[in-house]
Amino acid sequence: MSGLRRFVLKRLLLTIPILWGVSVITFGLVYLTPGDPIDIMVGLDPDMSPTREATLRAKHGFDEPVWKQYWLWISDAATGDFGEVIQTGRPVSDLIIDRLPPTIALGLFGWVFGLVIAIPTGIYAAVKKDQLGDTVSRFIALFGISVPNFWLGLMLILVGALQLGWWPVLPPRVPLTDPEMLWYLVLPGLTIGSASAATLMRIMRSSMAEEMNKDYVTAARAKGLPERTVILKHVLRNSLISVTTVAAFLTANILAGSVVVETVFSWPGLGREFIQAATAREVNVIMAITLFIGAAIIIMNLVADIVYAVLDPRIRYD
Amino acid sequence: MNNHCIYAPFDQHSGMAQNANRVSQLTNRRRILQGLGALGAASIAGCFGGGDGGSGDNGIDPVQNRVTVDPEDIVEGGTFRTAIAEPVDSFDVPYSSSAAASNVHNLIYEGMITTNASGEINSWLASSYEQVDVQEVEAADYEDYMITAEYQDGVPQVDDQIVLRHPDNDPTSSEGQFLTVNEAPDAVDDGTYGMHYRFDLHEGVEFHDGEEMTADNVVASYERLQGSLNSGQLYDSLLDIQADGDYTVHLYAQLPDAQAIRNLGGWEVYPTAVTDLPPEQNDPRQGNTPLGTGPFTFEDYEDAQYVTLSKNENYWFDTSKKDWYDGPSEFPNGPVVDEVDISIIPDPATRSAALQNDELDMAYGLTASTLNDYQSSEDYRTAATSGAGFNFLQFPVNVEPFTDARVRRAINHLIPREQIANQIFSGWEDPAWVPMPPIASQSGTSDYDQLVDDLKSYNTYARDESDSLVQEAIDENGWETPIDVTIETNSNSDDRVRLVELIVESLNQSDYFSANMETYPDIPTWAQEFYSADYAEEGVLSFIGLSSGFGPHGYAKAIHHPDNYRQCCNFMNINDEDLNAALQEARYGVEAVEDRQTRQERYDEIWKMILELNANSYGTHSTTVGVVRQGEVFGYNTYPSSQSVVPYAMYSPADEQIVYVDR
Repeated sequence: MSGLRRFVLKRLLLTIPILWGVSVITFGLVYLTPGDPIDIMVGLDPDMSPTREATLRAKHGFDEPVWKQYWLWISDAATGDFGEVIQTGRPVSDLIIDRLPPTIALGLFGWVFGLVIAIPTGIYAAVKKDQLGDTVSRFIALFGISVPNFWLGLMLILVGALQLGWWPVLPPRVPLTDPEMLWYLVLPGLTIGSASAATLMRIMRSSMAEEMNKDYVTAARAKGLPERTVILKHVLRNSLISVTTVAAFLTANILAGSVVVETVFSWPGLGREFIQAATAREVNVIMAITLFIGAAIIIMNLVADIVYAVLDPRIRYD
Repeated sequence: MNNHCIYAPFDQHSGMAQNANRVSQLTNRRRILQGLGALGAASIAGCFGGGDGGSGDNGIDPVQNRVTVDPEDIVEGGTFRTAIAEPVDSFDVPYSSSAAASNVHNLIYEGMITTNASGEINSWLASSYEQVDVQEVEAADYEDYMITAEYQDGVPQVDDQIVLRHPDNDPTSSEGQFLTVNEAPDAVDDGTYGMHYRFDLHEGVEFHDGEEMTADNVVASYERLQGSLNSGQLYDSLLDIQADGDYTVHLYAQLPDAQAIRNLGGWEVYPTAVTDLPPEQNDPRQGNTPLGTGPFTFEDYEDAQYVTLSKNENYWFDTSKKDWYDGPSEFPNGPVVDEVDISIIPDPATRSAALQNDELDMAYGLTASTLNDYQSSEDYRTAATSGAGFNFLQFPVNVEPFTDARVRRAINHLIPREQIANQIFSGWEDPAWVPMPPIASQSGTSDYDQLVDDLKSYNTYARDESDSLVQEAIDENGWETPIDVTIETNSNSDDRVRLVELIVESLNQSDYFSANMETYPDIPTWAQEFYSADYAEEGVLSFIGLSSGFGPHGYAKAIHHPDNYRQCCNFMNINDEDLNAALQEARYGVEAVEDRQTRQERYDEIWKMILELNANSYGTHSTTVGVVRQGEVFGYNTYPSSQSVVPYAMYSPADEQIVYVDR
């Protein structure tokens, strides 16, 4: 078995205890939060009879000690059964399947947007280091990192939808695969991708600037290679190693950002569902979404490591 | 029919507020209408049952600046676009607890009676109904029909729907006596029941699937509630329901009950295709199309995104079939828009933006500051209606020094109600001078304006009076000053937090009180505390909102009666025997059931008792506000309850209410 394969296998096996740890911590936090879905239902419906309350509590195991509740949940989850949405009876897995595609589409758009903006801007800033263009782009990057998602989202709605009238405020009713969807993704995608773009741009700039000071760049220039070739063919490839790693890590930021952005744009994805589930103490939904996001982050980190190896042949996984 | 409510946040059910002009307009209209002798019936069923019996006399119209349309101007067709704040939790009404979802339900399903904006009850699927008789019956009178069952952890081990529990039952003992749906018909057959109603159904009414509605459908629909999430709302009153031939239904109430008709008559009626479904399956997510007799048929539901409905082209309704209809003969026999498109938008700011971007025709549940902007714009019309709720401060009446009514009244006199109404709600809400919002006044008082005149002095801001009351209490009991006052509330309502801050500031201006505010992130988190047994002993005050119905009973009972301790909303274990007895007589006394004036007089006494007791202080009465695009949407008025804002606007012939769009 090659080193890379062993490495991947090892990392995949490691995801099991990591996800288990995530599940224990999340379950514990949910348990420590006052109230459960049955309490919420009783709170919303003062007429609910004690009999029904007790029946519901027993049905969903809320009358058991916490360790047993967790055991029941993890036993089912291990077989792919994440239970049901307690207030509606809908299988959680169905819910995840429904909500996942919009979140993936949004996250992918934001991620691609981040790369498309960050790489050329970072190159430009590095090439024009300490000149006006560099200062402006760094200022914009600082703004992008600092500005809260919810505020940016509202501003984009204000300008893009209300002032210009180019976009709708409400989420589109076209299939995700419809090309028209690309247009509708612009505002939420910009919102979710702006911080990533800014972070990546700064990484790209510093990485490029560092590479450009190395001997091989001087040698290339001494050989008379055109500056464009030096930058794009030699410097860029080496600079992309750190950018790629950070880009994969930023998946976590994008997924976390979806909670806010999906709420602001009424985007029907996992993030918005998570907020609703947290409010309603829907423990099964909270657990499933948390685990899913955890798994996605672990996998993206793994992908980053693999891509890292591909980009830099000096790296070996033993 | 769905009787939800409870502590709805301000921006959900209550709009609030407009400016001082509107407040004065409301007062003027009240005077005019009371001059007509408003004796109208009452209540949308709020969570506490909220209503009283009777059928539609003239009533106070809570709709402010109502607009009407000339039938000749109506343009048919088009789509009415609006939004609700949360997903439809279930299309199967017995299993739905969402007030927002009721807006969808009430477009698809209908009941035997309906309620207009004034709270008047009118026959709907029933061509007529009558109260056949009332008998003086108590729960113990059903003892011969009751079964004995064990209690396990306080829960009776009974498989069938429980109708009544023996009043002597003790859930901590091993067993108790229960009347279930199986034995209830025997009691009825023997003539043991509280009230008897007869409903005659319209013939030829078809469900959306073409089945003709009969009495058997009504019975099966009511039986579908057994064991459901909402069963308690029906079986709070229902003893038994029986079909008599194809078009007659007999309903029997357990006890004489002034609000029985509201609890019993309005439940949704479904075709056989629905009543044959297992519980919770009447839902498109389960592969089943919701079916009713309503003016709109279900088209599409995308979970958490939108629901669309189209006009029922085979709608049964005809104004000529209704003897209560006294509008123009040209008035349409159903809604005139072809489609209703309801988006699901939780965030009020997004709903507002969608309205401005011409993606919605109507938005409600917006914040007070947003409403001010709309009101000052010529492009929009704010349609406000007196709401079915208020906010209130509850005292820990069993903890010193709040055991002393003088201390409670002293605090009450430091609540700056007018300042709250004007500064926090920009005039959109009215100061709560009496413990009952005006929409409940028809059965809740013999004269609302007189009631306000008589009782307002209890609730006016009066620093000297406050000082004098608390000094008297301190002198008598030797308590130290300043008295610590901790007010708790939920922090996810900005308006509510600002309101409590204002009260705290006002109390701290007195030498006698040292006040502070503590918050919980949201109501569900807080609920774990205020529903707990210890909460009443902690000595903190709670500030929260109550939403009920047209009937007066819920506003008084829910926050005072021991039955509501550790439920909504007697958190502090308030228990005043005189008040309890008065409440019982006002709703369940045979005289009150049979004579509205007696009932009104009893409630007049109750409001005074409540203010003397001062276990709760009242802030403002709520308002429900919808905003529509001027010049595109015509005829829009807002229903007092956020449960039925959309269906009411679409078509409510009792108020000659209809909306059309002309873009």
